Amino acid sequence: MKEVAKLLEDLKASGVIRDYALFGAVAQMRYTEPVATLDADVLVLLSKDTGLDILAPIYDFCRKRGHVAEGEAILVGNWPVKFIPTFSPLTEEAVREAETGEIEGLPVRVISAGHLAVIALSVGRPKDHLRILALIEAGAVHEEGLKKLAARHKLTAQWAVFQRRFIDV
Amino acid sequence: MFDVKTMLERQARWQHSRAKLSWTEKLRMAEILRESALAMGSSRGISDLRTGQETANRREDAELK
Repeated sequence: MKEVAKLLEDLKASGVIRDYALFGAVAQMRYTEPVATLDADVLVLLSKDTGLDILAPIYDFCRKRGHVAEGEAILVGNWPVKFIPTFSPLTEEAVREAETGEIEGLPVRVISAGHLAVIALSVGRPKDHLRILALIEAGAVHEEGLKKLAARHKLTAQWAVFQRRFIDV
Repeated sequence: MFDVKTMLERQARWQHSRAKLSWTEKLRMAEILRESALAMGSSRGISDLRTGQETANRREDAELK
């Protein structure tokens, strides 16, 4: 994972991307107990002059560094890394307000527990609901804070359903 | 008598203790979990999760034969 952290910082420093933040299970593990995952997901804010193939500059940069594509991911060390462009105001905010964590002594951007939970709420699969519950259980997020963040991103109805199904039981 | 409540409390304490590990340590544990899962599921399923390309390559190989 040290190689992943180094690559991400280099992508940002070189201007290939404007910013990034780890999310998904790798980010979750910063706040909860370890969970099984097959890859590392990275949200990226792309540079404005990106062409039609929006991930091409990232793939080019990685290829020059010797990292090969493996399906939808790029193999960095022993971690398949998936680059996902921000796809909503919520994910853009998550990257802009990301925190700086540390992996093996290297700084790396990671989305906050609150944004991680509300992105999971917006996706809404069973495994996303489990992620929210794990974050609440770990004390990394609190219901009132999630409710407010969800409301700010027009997810009040989804939060109400989640609360009814999993909290108010 | 088997005390389920005690067992669950013990499990909860163990889970909380794992949550307190460093992020680096937890990621190392996740790597070990992943390698174990990939080793066990080398036939189908888990490897397909890792990369859809593996499935596509196998299909292409089969078609060429």
